[in-house]
Amino acid sequence: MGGAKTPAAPQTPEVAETPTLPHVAEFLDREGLLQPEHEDNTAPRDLTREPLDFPADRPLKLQALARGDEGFVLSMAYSTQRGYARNHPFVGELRIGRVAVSMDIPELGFDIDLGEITVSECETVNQFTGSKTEPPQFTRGYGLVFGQSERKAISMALVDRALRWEELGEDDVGAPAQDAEFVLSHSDNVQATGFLEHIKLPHYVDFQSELELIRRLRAEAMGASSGPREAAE
Amino acid sequence: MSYNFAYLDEQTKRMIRRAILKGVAIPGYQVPFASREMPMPYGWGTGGVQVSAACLTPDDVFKVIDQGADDTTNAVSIRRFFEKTAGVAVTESTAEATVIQTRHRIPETPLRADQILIYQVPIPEPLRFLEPRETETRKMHGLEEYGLMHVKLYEDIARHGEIATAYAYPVKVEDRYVMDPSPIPKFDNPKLESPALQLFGAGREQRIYALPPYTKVVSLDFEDYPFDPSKAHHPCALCGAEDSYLDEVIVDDAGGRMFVCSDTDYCAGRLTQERPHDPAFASTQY
Repeated sequence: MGGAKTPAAPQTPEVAETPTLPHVAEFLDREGLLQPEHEDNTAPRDLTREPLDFPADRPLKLQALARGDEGFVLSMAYSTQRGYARNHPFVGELRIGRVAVSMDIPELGFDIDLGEITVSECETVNQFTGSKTEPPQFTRGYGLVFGQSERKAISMALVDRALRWEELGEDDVGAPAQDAEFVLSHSDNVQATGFLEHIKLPHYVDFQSELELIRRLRAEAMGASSGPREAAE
Repeated sequence: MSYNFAYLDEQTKRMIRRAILKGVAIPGYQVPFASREMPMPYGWGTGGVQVSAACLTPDDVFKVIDQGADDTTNAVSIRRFFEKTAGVAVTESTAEATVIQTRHRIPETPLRADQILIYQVPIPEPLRFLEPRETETRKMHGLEEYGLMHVKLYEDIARHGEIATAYAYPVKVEDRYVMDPSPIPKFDNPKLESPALQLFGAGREQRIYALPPYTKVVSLDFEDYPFDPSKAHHPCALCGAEDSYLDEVIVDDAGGRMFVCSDTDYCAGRLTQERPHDPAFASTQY
């Protein structure tokens, strides 16, 4: 996920030979209309190497959303558009490009580039009414996803923004897209598919125990009220 | 293609062993661990497989059961997986196995101190069906706040006249943690107090927990409604056992049924003793 940082990194001369497009948000930034993202240079926790833990910080949320099932992320985003934690987004920027994937080899002591992948990136600009200490300002939602998928990138940016309610001092309106534990625990398609399809495996032992329980409860209920059965419903 | 012993890399196995040791040190406590993606779907035993990978040694004899049977699809796949990636000896015999991975049953043959029983766990949190939030249930465990569970059991009795949980029946471990024994029938609950080490792995939910040998395990109940490990009131139609857990098998289109042991090794063993020369009942050796 190198290069996934929200604020545009200052261009260093070494990479100057690669033509780079400035982020659109930088233009709004110059006017101070857009809330700056505070730079945090601590290494983010790695969702694939540590168990998911709550409260999850933003890097962890973004990782989960980037890995999340497109349909799930889309529906969560759509729900915010329909009013469940509505925060009208403008697509500030939507772009597709290629990024290098490099792997840290501890034994060698340096990184090795394995290849390139296509990613889609979206930055939304959202309303923010301001607070006692801050005047009204635009805020951002961020999406970065694998492959050419504008739909998922926009969806991710909307959900990211909805999940930031606490950080931005907004109300918890009880919307599903605001609920980090709900969103992060159910976004992984591989987990969801596996667990759903495991019910195809045999369950006859636990079903048998349930069967005996239901038969016993029914026998007791029928025996206790041999008269009219309306109470049993 | 060659694999590292038991598929996982040594770093990962070490990480899992640390989680296991923590689980053993705090019986019944769910230890978060960095579950890896395995070459099988989540929900199909990825937790159990990772714990087995971390426990197996080249000298182990490995047995896998699903629903008590060695020949069920999930059991066969996992047994073959470790035959291929660890090259360990495998068996269907409970007595011969040193490591047993299981889904939904505890073998009928009593386990020994030199054996490890590894459970595949779908939902490790016993309070989950009462409180869906992990942030809340972890707090409840921390504060030993199990009132919600007791109220649920009480409401069962008020509504149905008995505790209406037939499998994954909650237990209290060493008077401290309420634990989900995985979806074993409650008939198996008394066997949770065992000379064998018992380890529980939930891959998707990223949790490992443990019952060290001879740990006190009490099925939750009330003084006036004591725990009852019930089973079907039949003997096994094949081996005649009256002390084993039975499956109800439909045998014809008219709905005819027979009750047979769910533990295939236990049943076959009893039949071989009775009819030692009948090859149909001899336990298969791989």
